[in-house]
Amino acid sequence: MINLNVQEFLPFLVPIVILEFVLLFFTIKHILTHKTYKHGNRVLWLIITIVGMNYIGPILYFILGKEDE
Amino acid sequence: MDEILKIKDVYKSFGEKKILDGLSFDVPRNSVFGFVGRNGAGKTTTMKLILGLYKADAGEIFINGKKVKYGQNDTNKYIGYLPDVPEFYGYMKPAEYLRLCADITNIPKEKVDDRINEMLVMVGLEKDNKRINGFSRGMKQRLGIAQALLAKPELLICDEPTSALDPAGRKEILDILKAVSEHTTVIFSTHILSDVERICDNVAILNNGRIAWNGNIAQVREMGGNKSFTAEFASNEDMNKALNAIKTQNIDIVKLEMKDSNLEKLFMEVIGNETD
Amino acid sequence: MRQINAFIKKEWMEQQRTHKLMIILIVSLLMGIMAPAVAKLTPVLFESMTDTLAEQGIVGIEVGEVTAITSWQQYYKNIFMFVMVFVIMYAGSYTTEYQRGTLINIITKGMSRTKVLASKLIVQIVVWTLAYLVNFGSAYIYTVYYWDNSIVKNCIFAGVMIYIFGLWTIGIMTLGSCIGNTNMAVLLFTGGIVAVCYMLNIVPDIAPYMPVKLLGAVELLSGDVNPKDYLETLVVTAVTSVMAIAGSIVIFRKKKL
Repeated sequence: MINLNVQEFLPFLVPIVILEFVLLFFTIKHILTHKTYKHGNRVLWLIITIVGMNYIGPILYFILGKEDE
Repeated sequence: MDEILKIKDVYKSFGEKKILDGLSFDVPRNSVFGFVGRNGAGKTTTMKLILGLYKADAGEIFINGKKVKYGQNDTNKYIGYLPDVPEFYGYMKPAEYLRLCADITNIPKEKVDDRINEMLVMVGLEKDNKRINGFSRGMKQRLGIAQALLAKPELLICDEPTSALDPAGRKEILDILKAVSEHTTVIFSTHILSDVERICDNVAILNNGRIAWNGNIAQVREMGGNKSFTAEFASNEDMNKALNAIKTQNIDIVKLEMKDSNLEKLFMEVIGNETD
Repeated sequence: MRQINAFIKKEWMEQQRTHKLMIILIVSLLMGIMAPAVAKLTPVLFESMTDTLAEQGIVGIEVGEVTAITSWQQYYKNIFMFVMVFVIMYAGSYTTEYQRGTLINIITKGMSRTKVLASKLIVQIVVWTLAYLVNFGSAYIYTVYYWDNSIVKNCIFAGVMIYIFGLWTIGIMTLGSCIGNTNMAVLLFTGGIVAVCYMLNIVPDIAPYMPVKLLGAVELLSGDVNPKDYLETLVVTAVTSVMAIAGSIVIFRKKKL
């Protein structure tokens, strides 16, 4: 079993988790508060965002999904 | 020199398609100049040539006696331009956009705030302090006029300013244009002829890349020795009174309807002759 | 000057209000932290898998000792990806304006096209600088915290090479934006140039002159390669960047908007 000393990894885990969740929630909020997208639809973007939540999903959304303002 | 704009023998083609074929006309100062033509007649092309956004194949354009050069914009300082579909940065608020315009046109810093306010009040957007994203067509059109007039240009060019608007919106825009014509020359293109009759002093009809007819609106009115007129009443009541008066005076009316305007007749004639 | 200031302000407002700046900075930070995190985690993962591997008859895989160098190797492995994210996010800076016609208003108001280009360039450089500082900085802080970074040679110099590669990319992207009219065209142009550089990079005689060599700056860390070897690359990069910008100005001034 993974013999992981959690203490040692906290300096990584805390910021990574926080950042990913900030990005995730921000993206989801943006998707839900907009009705039209450059490509795709709401469900598609929610799936992509959640599946690729490490940052690829949100980036894809902001490049391909978000309408230009 | 009393022409603000002189266009001399301008030719312009896009590929095989000839748009302007020896276009020439002058616009006198302090007038409202109606630029009429069918869709695709080359109105927008002409305006973009005046603004130096397109390069003419041949011919010259002068503004205030200065030659327009493609890609450069020295002559643009005299011009305010309202594109047919004005597009702004959606994330800005109207006052922020006008401030950007003010800085670009070098309006003296101490005057900027007052000028922005003045414009917003003039076009009735002073209360709409939200991002341009949420604006309707009409509001964008009004913001378009505000940005075009911000620097108090000598010449205001409007490309189909009323085409996409409902009657109420059109009236608002026309009233604003009429009001600014006191100190600015206004050129506006349209295919809505009643708009031209409403506010223009001079009219040019564009057809087949050339000016098919050019003259004073008074001339248009005089054409055809009128026995007919259109009347617009302030209220239904007034209209009924007038109709009653006609009845009681035994005035003989042959036909009572909204008639074709003279300009419309002229327009059809000119275009018909050219295309036959 | 007032025009450039105003337009820079507009560009900066765009960065903030369309959330571009926030997103690129979050991604910079994430990617910066991720490299040392992966380096730190790898041996733990291997250890946990040793038993499973042994059952399958695989033995003797030695995980080398993890050092600061391992962390940096991980960092440079992903750096191309980071530059790509930046390019994808900024490839539309000009083309969105062409397509919506928003620049027409600005140009017809008497702003010179060169100034438009200069303003956009300045803002992109500032964003790249911030993003890279955050990216490199976070990787650096974590590496120093967990390992002895003194064994790493030319640590900052190698980072600067990547930074300069980013600047060169901005130049190429700007040229692409002046030639092309769509976001996709800009991406293809930028990607195409980089791809050509990579192909030429195979030829040993040409390799030292290819700006993509900068992306391999990880080789500097062991100290076997001397920073001096990057002189030709840097000169070529600087010259081509200046040429790209000069070409951009010429083309942009004549561009039909």
